[in-house]
Amino acid sequence: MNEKENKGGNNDEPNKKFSIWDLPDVPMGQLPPHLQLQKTRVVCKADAPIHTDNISYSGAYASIGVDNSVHLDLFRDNFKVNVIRLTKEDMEFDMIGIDPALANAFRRILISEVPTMAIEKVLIAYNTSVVQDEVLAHRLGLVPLKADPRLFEYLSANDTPNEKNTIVFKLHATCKRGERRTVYSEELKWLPKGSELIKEAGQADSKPTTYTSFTCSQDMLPEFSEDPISPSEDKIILAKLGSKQEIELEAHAVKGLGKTHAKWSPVATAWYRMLPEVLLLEDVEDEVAEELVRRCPDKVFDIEDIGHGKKRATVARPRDCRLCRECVRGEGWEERVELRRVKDHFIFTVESTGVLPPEVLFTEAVKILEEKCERVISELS
Amino acid sequence: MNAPDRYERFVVPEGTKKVSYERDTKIINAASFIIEREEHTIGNIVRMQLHLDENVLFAGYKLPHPLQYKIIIRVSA
Repeated sequence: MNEKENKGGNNDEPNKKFSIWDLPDVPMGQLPPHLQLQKTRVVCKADAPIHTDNISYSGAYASIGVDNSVHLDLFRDNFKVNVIRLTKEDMEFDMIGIDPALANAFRRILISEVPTMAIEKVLIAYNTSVVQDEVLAHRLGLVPLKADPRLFEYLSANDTPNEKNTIVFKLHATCKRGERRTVYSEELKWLPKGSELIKEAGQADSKPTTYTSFTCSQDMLPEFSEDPISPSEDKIILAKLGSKQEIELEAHAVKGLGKTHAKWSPVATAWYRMLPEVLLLEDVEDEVAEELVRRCPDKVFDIEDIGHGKKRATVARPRDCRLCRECVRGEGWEERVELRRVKDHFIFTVESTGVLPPEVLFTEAVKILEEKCERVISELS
Repeated sequence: MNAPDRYERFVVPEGTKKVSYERDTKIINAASFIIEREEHTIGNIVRMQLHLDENVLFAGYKLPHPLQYKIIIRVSA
């Protein structure tokens, strides 16, 4: 029997094939909503997230007739950057419309490939404190220095240290008899004219040479004359001295990358997260609403009154959600709340150590990514 | 003791080329690119961009060993 017969039993028309695409409410050329959800959102269930992969293959939806390819002009139109917070030390901004591979590349470059200056060689003249030489040298290396690394060059093994690639600091601390004191990083004095320690020369008649050969003083340069080079934080504890102990040393700082050693990393850290989206799947009322608001430690939910003394829960601040999943833990909560992440909206946070302001750090990271790509491209051709 | 120097991660030694290219003998229109002294930063981006191209059938990258600083990108059109 023909299933498509009318109830009245009109058998005149043959079995007409009808296509689901002719139905008025299915949009042509776009993905159906469940596939759109799968493509643009990560759904975080109570046990694990699903739909985490990026469906970027351009022929992915070819069988439905939807073109999944991304063109440069589409990307240029949809890409947005919004700065949320910008202080001297840290910055929070949103990048909308990029792929996680790019976001991760920026994060990796910020942490390990933006160059900085840090103390590498420590020439210790006198150390009678309880802090051993190597421990003191290690601590000095980790002190962040407020010197713009773009004004300096790298020092390789066979170069002589001169004013273009080295910064020299001096530390001389003594402790009076019967007292104790702490040596802070503000006691690192910048020597713009270079090293003052004299090298032991073989011939007695040659001119005494120091460990660096500065041809001109570093504070002749305009950038340094107003803003002298110093550690970016003053109160970093370097050592503690007891009675009659003394430290006298000279430290040479050079340019390097975070890849070589973490002391050359310009960010305290840099991280990103995807924009959270919190949905209430059904109306949450009264006591259940109160419990929901109580459960969330980030105060994402709020109560609103809808008259007749009834209350309802709404999502007030989804951006603050840290995905602790307290709201979906337990019986029956997964049907009420759905936690999601928007796959192409990244909230970046960059915390600088004081070397450069965070917005400069990010622009440097973009330039470095460009350079890396240029290098690979030039080798190919 | 056996760890390589940290600067080996990004300094390309004399004699080796930064990018080398080998065609795949068994599959038509497929090749492997070996990029020296690069890692996930570049590899993931190139792989992502290759996926967006309509003519690409297969694109992937890997680091054969974390202590050997190179990536192999395999592309098939």
